[in-house]
Amino acid sequence: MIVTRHEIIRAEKLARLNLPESKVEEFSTRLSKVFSWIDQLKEVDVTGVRPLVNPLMDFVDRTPMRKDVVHQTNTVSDVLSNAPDKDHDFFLVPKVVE
Amino acid sequence: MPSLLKLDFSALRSKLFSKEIKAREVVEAYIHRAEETRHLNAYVTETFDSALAQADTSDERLQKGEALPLEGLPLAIKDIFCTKGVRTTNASKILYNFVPPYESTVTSNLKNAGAICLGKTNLDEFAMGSSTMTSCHGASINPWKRKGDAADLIPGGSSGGSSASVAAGSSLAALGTDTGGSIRQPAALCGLVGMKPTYGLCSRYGIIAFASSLDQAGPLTRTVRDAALVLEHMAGHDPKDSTSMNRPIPNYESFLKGDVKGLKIGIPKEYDREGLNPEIKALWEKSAQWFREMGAEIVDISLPHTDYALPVYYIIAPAEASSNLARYDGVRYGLRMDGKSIDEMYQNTRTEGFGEEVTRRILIGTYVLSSGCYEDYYLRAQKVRRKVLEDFTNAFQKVDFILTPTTASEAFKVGKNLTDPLAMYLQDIFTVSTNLAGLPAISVPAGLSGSGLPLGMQLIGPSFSEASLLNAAYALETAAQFKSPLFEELKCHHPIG
Repeated sequence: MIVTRHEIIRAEKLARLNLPESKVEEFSTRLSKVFSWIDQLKEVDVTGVRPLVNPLMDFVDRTPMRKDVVHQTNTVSDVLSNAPDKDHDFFLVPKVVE
Repeated sequence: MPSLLKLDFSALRSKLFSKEIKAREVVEAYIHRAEETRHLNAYVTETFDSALAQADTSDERLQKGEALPLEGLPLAIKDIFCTKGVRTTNASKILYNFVPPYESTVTSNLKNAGAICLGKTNLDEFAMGSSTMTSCHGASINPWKRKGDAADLIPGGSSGGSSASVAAGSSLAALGTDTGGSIRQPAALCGLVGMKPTYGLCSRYGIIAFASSLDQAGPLTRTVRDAALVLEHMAGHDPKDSTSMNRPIPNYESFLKGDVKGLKIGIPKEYDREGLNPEIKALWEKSAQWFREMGAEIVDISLPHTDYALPVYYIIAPAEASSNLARYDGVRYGLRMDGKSIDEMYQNTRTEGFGEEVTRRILIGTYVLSSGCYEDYYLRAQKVRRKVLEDFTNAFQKVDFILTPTTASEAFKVGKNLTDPLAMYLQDIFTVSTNLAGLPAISVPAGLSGSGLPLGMQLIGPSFSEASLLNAAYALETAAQFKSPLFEELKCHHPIG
């Protein structure tokens, strides 16, 4: 299984990463090796098998719901305390609309 | 006079409760030991001042006869658990200055039970690795050395700072997380007990997510008894984690009788792999023999999808990681790099902030979830994951527990293996299946290799069988009579007696 340069660049864009050209080549080679090994999964007959999303899905019918009650957890200042850039009660980001 | 550093927690606790020693003396001794072993790079953040203040509070409670169950336990916490007001880096440049405004449920439970946090320990970046070599803080060093060889060895990973710290005696117990073996493998390579509980036993709230359907917190300790004590006070339902199960948590310690008569212990033939280190194979056979001598029955079993567990893991874990790590965008916390547009800012931040292994796994995850690949890879992996679970379900109709080696090799030298991802991934070969199936498993130190390094054996049980699994592990520990020379050699300025 070959993971092409083109596919690496596509994944890189989707993941909001920006690799230098030399890294794209390197990842293409390395991931091709990883996926050739992963391809052994095609040997397994999975006809009619229900995907296992979470190991608990056989124990519980559905995710338990908690009561919808208001709790005081993090305050605005807590939430903003790690912001790289902020103004009043807002996170600041580069201009989005022209 | 013996050093208090030599005692495990159950022994230390009796001395604290009988007022023979003070919590402050214990904490001071451990701080001194942590300072003495700083070269191991086990801790990435030390919280000694608050530990001393907590020790004084513990002493007040002990004086008043109001001691909590884990009163005075010197605990190290993997730097993946959010700790309120204490920097939590996840060993990544992208979170280098992150100070959580809240506390993880598991650490909060332990602190409320009287445990005292000495600091945060090193790990592989985002828990992705088996050596701590991908940490932005540099690798931790295993306090064990090969006989006649001074070369530094890895402490295992990803919870390698935790294992190095407990093995060196700079903490008495440590918290780890286990997504594919990250508690059991470092425990085995450092001569410790390491337990991954059933998925859903402990809350994941406040643990920085790697792969949400696999991650689970657990203890690394010197003894099975200590693992039982710590686990009891970590576990329990948490309304903040809808995957934490609402079940009663028993007093695990009360199950440690060491009686395994009549139990059936399964030996999966697929784990007897070509190229398995002969010393590990011999120890595995010896461990089975110990169980036989204690009255258990050894049963050959088959887990036919074992070979597929690793490739399944290397689709599911990166897929979940690529989704979980999308939140690191330079907006709300963590590193931000400048960019002319918001997209450029995201890209520059993420490219600069994530190390190479994390980047590789984000790319694998993004690729397997992208249109055209989802069904072939992600969905297929989830179906094979069920086959792996069914193997265990079938096996547990015949046996009570499964016995396997924890690792395929002993600890290797710092620097080795990092260049070949496949060789590195194979480190997880005996441990990942249980994460895929959500099962509890425990590694117990069972012997030494020819070069004098510790080797671990793993016991796997059915879901939520922790109490009886700990008892089987206790029996194995008693039979193996493993004594870490590192603990025997510990000295401190606070002798007791």
